[in-house]
Amino acid sequence: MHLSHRSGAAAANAAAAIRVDSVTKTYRSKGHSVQAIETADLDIRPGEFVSLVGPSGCGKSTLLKMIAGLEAWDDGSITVNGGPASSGRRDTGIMLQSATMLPWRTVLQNVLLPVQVMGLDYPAAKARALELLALVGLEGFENRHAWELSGGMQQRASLARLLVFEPDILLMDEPFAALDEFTRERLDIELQALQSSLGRTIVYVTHNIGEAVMLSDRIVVMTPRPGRIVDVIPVELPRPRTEETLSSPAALALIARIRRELGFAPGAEAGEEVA
Amino acid sequence: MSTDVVARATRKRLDWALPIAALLVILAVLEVLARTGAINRLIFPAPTAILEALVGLMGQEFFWSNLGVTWFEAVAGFLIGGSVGFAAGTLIGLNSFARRSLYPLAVAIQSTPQVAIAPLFLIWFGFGIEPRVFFAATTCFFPILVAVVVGLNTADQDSRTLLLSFGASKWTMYRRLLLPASLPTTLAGVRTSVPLSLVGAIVGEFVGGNLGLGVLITTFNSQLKIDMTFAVVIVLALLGFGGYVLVELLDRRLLAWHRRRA
Repeated sequence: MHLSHRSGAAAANAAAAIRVDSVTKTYRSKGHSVQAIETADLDIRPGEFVSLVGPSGCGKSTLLKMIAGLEAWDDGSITVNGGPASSGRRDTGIMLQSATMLPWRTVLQNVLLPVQVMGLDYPAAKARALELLALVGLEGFENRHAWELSGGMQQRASLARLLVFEPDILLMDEPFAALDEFTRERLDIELQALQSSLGRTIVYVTHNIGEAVMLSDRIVVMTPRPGRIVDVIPVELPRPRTEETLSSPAALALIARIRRELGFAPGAEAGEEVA
Repeated sequence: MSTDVVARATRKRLDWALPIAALLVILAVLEVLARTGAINRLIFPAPTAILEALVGLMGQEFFWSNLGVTWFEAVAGFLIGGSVGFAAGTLIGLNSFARRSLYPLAVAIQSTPQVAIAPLFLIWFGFGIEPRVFFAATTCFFPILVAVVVGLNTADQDSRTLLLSFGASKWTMYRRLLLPASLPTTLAGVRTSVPLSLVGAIVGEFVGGNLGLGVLITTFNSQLKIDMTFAVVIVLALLGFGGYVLVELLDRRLLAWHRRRA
């Protein structure tokens, strides 16, 4: 029945950057199975910042990896810029919770890794990489090794690496979740500024409701067992948003609504995470 | 920063100074014990007597030809065993079927004392230099194989995911991620193998040979020329140390990132 309700929207929004259509996913292992995603439908417009919010095991990370073509699904379809979702697309890039800097490479060489793997023009990319490192505040750190950088700086480098091949869809899997609160707040503010100047499409996975409210144009609320989308909420707070924005009545109402939809409970225990 | 560098350099000098000082003290004690007759000079010659024997030995042509034979056996054995071990380790490390079928066998064979099969090599390869080279090769083969297999599995899942997201082929994955990530472990295997290649060559010569430093040792020993035996042992120690230095240099060159991080 969701199909009939979707067909009108599909026609009206043919230019969706990402279209998740009736996607299901079940993990099966030795006799018991876990429904990672019951049925997910989601359209994301070009230039939109959409957060996937929910507790561990709600399938938010799984959904993101599917969009990135790094995880298979059972039924339904995922379209990215009109084509099937797959890994290795130059128009999509993913950023993970760990910075995953290769320790034998300098910061600059790490930023240029996708360029080498994709076989792009290296000299042109190098100039771009240096600009991006300056943009994320790592000027002068090009020739350092990753382990010489703090966690926050490593994620800045990781962001530069994500941008170096100029994907127009950025898939971010809790990129700042492992950082301390102060660093995370600063990076959120910088990501917001970056987004307003670059205008990329961003799908951002987080379990931090405040962070989602601060960054997103829309918030997709997901709950576990089985993983499903329970609500998609537009965030109409003025930009640029700051931590103060989060204490405005509108933001507080939004946060309260999301918490209510998530059942207020922290949800699944860490040990039960599916993906 | 600069004081840090100085501190590290000073520490490095101390690293060398202390063991050398300890060695000199031990040698001095042995010298005194041997000269006063506290230990039998026939059983344990004075260090100066050993040095004398060593200098004498170095003037002899037969010494250098025997040294060359042992050196060749060890180096050829290391190169053969190392490259075959590297190839087999790469196959097993990258292919899950090979890992499930062959790796348990390799581990089982590695735990067999290889000295036990040394006499077999004489029967298989005759009494020339070949059995010793092959024996040195087998001693190097397993440590390198195991090190490569373990090394190729050290790259973490997130790095693999990242490269996959860039559309990396299997070859790119190997070249850009798995291989460089495996080098510290592989080099640890090389570090184990280099002295083992020398052990393999010497044991091979003990078991059956007419040339090489191992043969010199058994000959001098049977003639009760203990000072000469010790002189040959010192030469072997120097050969082993030379191998160690080579591996260290390789390590510094290839693995600066790993060394400085640790």
